[in-house]
Amino acid sequence: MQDIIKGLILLLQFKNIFFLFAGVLSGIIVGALPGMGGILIITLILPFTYSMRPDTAMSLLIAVYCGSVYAGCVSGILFNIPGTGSGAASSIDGHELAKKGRAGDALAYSAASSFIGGVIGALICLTFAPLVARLALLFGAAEYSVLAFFGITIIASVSQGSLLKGLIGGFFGILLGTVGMGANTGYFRYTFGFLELADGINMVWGITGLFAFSQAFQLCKTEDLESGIAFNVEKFSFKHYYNKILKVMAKHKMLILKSGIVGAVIGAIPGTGAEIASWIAYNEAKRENSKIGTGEEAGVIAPEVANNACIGGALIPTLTLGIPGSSTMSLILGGLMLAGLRPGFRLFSEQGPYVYSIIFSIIVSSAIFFVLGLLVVPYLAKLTSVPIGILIPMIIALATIGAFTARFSLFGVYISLVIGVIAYFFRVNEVPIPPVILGLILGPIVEEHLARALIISNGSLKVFFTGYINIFLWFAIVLSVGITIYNEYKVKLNDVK
Amino acid sequence: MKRDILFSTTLIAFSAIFYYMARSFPSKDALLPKTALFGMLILSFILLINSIINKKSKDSTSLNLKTFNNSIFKMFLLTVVYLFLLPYMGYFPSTFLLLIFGMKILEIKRALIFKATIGYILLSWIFFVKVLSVPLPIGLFFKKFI
Repeated sequence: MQDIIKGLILLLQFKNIFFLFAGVLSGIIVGALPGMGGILIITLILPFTYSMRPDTAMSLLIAVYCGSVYAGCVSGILFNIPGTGSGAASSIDGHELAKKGRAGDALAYSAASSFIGGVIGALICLTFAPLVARLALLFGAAEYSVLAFFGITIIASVSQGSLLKGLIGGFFGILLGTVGMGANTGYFRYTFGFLELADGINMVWGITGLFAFSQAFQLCKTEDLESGIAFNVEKFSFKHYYNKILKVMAKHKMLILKSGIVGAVIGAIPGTGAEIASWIAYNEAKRENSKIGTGEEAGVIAPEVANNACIGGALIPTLTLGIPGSSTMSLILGGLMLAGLRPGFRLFSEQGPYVYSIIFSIIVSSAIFFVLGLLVVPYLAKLTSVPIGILIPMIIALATIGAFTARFSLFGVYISLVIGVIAYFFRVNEVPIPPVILGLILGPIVEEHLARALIISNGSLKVFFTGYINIFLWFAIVLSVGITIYNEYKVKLNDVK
Repeated sequence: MKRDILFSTTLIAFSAIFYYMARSFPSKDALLPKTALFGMLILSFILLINSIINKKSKDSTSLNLKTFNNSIFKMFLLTVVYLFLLPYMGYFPSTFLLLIFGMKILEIKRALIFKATIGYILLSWIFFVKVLSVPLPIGLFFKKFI
C-alpha cells in the first residue's frame, strides 16, 4: 500500500504531469493520422527518454501510447479511414453515426469510452497483475493458434450484410498475410523477386491501402466535390456532451464492464494486442444488438473500451514477465529497460513506487485525453466541412507518408497503392473491408503458432484439442459461428416474411 | 447481378493462378495460402452460381458505369505519376503538383486550390519535418544541392 501511495505522489509531480500532457497531445495528433500510429511516435520519442528519470520516461511513453490508441478512431469516425488498426472496429458505427449528422456524438462517446477503458485496464493491472500473468503463462503455441483462429471466426460477424462476400474478404486478407518468408521453412511466397516483400506485407501498408487509397478513389464518385462530407454536427458545449455522455455510459454500463474485462484479458495475452481486443468486443456487442454496424453508439463504445483496457492488460506480462503484450508494448519494454528497470516478479517488490506510477500514468493519461478529446471535438468535427475535392489529394499525400514511414521505403507506398486499387474494386462490389484487415492481422499469428505447435507435437493435431484452455476456446468458436449463422438465417427469414 | 458474375469470375481466375503458384511451395508453408485460396475459390464459385440464378429475377443492377467515372481514372493516373516522380523530385515538390492537379481534376475553385495546397505543404513540413523529424524523400534532383 505504501508503494502505491509513493507511486501516486511520484506521478503527480509537475514535471511528470507536463510530460503526460505533451505525450497525450502528440499521441492524439499522430494516432489520428491514417497509417502513422503509436509505434512511429514512440520510436521517435524513445531516444529523448535516455536522460529522464524512470517515472518521467515511462509516463511520457505510456501517455503517447494512450493518446494514439484513443485517437486511432478519430479519422475513422470522420472519414472512414482509421488512424490505427485498433480504431477500425469502432469506425464502422462511428462513421455511420457521422453520416447521420452525429459526428460530435460519436467522437464524444469514443473519448468517454476510451477513458473508461483505460481506467478499467489500469485497475485490472493494479489488482489482478499476478493472477492474470499466471493465466497468460498457461498459453502455449497450440492455445495461441486456437485463440487466433477464434479471432478469424469473428470475420463472419463483421461482414456487414453479405456473409459470403465478407468471408471472401477475410480469406483475401489471410492470403495477403502469407506474402513473404514462410514461418516453417523460410521459403519466399508470392514475393515476385522483390526482397522488400521478404518480411511480408507490413500492417501499415495494408491499412493505408485498404482504408486510405481505396477511400480516396471511392470519394471521387461523390457528385458534389465542392462541398464537405456534410456531417451536421450538433451544438457544441462541454456541458451538452457531459450530460449526454453520462446518460449513454450509464445505459451501456454492463457492455462497458464486459468490454473492459475482455480488453484487459486479451491485452494480457502476449502477441494479441488492441486490434484483436477491439474486434472481439465489437463482436460481443453485435451479438447482443444486431443493429450494430448501422450506426449504433454501442458499436463505438465496446471496441473503444476494449482497446484502451488492453493497454493496462498488456502492461501485466510486460512488467511481470518481460513479455510485451503487443508490438507497441515491446517499445515500452525497451523504454523500461533503458530507464534501468528490469521486468520480472521482483520489479514489484524492489521498485514498487516506479511500477505503480507507470500503472497510474494510464489513468491520468486517460483523463487527459478525455478532456482534450471533448475540447477538440468541435475542431475535429469541423474538418468534415472541408470540400471533398480538397480532401482526396490530401488523403493520397498523407497515405503516402504513412506507408513510407512504416519501413522508410517507397516500395511500401507502391504496395499500398496496389492494395488500395484491389480494395477499391472490393468496395465497388460490396465486399466489406474490415474482414480483409482482420485476416491480414490474424493470418500470420495463426501460421506462426500453428507451425510451432506442430513442431512441438511432432505433427500431431491432438495438441489443439487437449487441455481445458483449448476445449474452452473451441467451445467459444462453435458458439460464435453458430450464433452468427443463426442471426443471418433469422434476418433472411424476416426478409422473406 | 452482372457485376457479381464479373467479380466472381475474376476472383476464381485470381485464386486459381495463385493456387497454382502455391503448388511449388514446401508443403508446410503452402498450408495456409492453399487453405485461404481454396476458401476463396469455393466462395467465389457459390457467388457465381448465386448471381447466375438471381440474374433472371433482378437484372436491374447491371454494371454501373458511374463506378468507373473519369475522375477516378484521372486520379489513379495522377497517383501513379506522383509516385513515379516522388524519388526524383522529393516529397514536397511532387506533393505540390499532386495537390494542384488533383484538385483541378476534381474541379475545385482556383483560389481554393492554391490556399489549400500551400496550407497543406506548410503544415505537413512543420509537423513531419520539424516536429517529428520524419526523413521524407528528398529526391535525386534536390540531393545534388544538399
